[in-house]
Amino acid sequence: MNIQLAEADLAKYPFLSQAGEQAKVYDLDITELGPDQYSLVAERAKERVVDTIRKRKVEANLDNPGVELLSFPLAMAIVKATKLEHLAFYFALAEALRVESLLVKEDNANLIADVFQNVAKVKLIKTYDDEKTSFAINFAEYLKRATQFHEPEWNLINRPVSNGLVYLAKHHLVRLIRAETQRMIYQRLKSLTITKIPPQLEAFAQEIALKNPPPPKVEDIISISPERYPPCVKHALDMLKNGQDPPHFARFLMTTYLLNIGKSVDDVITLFPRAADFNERITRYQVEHLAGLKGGKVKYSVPSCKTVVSHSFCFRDNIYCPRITNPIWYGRTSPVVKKVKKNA
Amino acid sequence: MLDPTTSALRQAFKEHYFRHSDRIEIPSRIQEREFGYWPFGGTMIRHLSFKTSGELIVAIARKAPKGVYYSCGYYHEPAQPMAEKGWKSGDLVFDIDADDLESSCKDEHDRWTCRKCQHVGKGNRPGKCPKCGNTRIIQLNWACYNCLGAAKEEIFKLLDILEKDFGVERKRLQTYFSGNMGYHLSVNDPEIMETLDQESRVEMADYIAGIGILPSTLGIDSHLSYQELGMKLPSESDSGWRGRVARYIVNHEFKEFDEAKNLDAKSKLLLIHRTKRHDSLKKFLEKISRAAGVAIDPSVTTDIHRIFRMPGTLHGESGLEKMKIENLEEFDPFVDPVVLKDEEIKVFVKHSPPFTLRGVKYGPYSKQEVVLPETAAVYLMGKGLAQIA
Repeated sequence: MNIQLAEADLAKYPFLSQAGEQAKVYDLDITELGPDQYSLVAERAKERVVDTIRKRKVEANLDNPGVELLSFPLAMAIVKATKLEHLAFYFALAEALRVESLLVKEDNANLIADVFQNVAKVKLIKTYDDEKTSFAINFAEYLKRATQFHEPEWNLINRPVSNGLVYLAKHHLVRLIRAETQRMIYQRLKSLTITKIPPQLEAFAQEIALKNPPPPKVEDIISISPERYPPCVKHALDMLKNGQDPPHFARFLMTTYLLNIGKSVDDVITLFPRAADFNERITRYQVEHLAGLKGGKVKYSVPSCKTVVSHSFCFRDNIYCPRITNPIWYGRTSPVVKKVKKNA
Repeated sequence: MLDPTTSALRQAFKEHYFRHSDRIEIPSRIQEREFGYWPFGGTMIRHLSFKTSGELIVAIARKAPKGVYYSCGYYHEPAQPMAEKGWKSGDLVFDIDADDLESSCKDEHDRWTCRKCQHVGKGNRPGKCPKCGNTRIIQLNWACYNCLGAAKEEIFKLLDILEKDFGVERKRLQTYFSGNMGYHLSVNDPEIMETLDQESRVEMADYIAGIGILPSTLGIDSHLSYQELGMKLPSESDSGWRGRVARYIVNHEFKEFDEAKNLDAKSKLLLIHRTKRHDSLKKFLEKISRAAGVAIDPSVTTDIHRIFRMPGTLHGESGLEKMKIENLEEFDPFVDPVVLKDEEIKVFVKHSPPFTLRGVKYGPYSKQEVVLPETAAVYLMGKGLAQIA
């Protein structure tokens, strides 16, 4: 669907192809703008970069649509001039959040569909629920995006599904494409070539670069004591200790977890002799296979929490489990703190 | 060198494949699939590739293995080790196994044997042998009309979800008898096969199995008044999981809600909501959605590198054929897939519950020599319950 958009709409979604064309109408060599207009555009562009750093989100300002539209490519030019990879990443995310907040408030269903088509290459189907427009998308397209979310409300079972379509309220729909909007803006930034930007903005970019050096690379030296293993891994280990026969999946989970937190093949094998059907030669081969030392030479990753649930081997607690999507992250996030009810 | 029983099994399979190679269903896109087989007296051999259906049929007839498998996945290089195959896309498949259904007949026909003291018990194996304490226990699962009937019911539920919820056309859904303990279902929809990655398949499997439903999905919210709840609770005519849970609640009785027997779904849910605390309500609804869901084996649907029994080949534990089903209602798992000969073989049966093949009743047997038609002899020998006398 291609609809003709007004400048105000293009200012909201400056990455749309029509927005690029509109920018050309202004014959945008930024240095050629008049001083007043230049100053407004430059200030707004700087504000977008500063908002990225301070708030990790760019707030939309639609008072002057022309400024909002033109400041987007200029802000990209500033970010590019800083040569900061992490800033490019955060800028793309901050702009994606700006787009999301605008889409949530968007009344024009055709425009939402157009943005969705542009960003995600997915056809939206408009439906009407209590006279309000809502949307549906093909279930496979939904799954492709929703499986990255941790909250159970995104599980397909918690969505209305019928005849191959997943029905979504607007705020859920726009959340689905955040990552794609971010990726699209990030890719544009990566492929952007700038010959020069005005000296004042160049100085601003250098100052930003100086004040925001890349974060140090932290080598993830993992040392986790057994009492901090996730409940599913603990359960598998307990089964072994008690002479029970853990199901195949539990052994796979436990082994991949231990290998991924830095345990050696020998460390892992020592856990198995208590199993009823232990055979060291076979066990060693299997553990080495999972460690990427045998067979396909690929180290296996720990199955996700969803996979653990699917195999009915999830024994989640309410402290760390609610915040993780993979057992490997257990204990590495902040715990969930239960609010204590005050006495009435 | 194979023992006489294994040798007889292999010979029966070999003769069958020689005479009925036309029964083998050649999968589509043969050159992009990995093949594997499990020889009698050997271990699984994988990472094979065939260019033509002729090559594949000749290999099956020559090896006469106890199991023939093909990958659900399509690869750039199917004969390479897994990491180098290059996964392109894959069939979406489902497996429903009577083993996974807690049918009431399991205790009657399933047996376990302690490897150490040979003590035999009924039903599912215990953690350790009650006689000698050994934990090495062999489980024998048996299929009867009752449990395979329950598995068939699950297939009907699966077809319903795939058609109504996922919008897959019936002509793209093919059901098979697995050859032993259950049913397989393949979705032949290129759009679905191409777009679903592993994570999406996990999510789809959870949906079908009824895993992870939230009370809020059913409109249950402790902040709502009863009037508001009445508006939000699901009714039997709702689509998707709301309707499925509502229909299950209406059609089943719950011992804890005797007074709710004849009420509609909304009224029953209101009563349940009133009497249960949040956590137990959540667990209760999860239990209902699991029961209303389909008992698929999630590892089959979600493993994109799995190899799957090939249609038209024999199952090594039964001698029955993995068979395409044209009419699921009328399919008889103890008649239609019985494809071996009636030639008689004398076997010694250690023990066997009664069973029926092609309408003929056999057993029960216990430590005795019997002359059986090849079909029945292979059925018992494949399960390790009989040997050539």
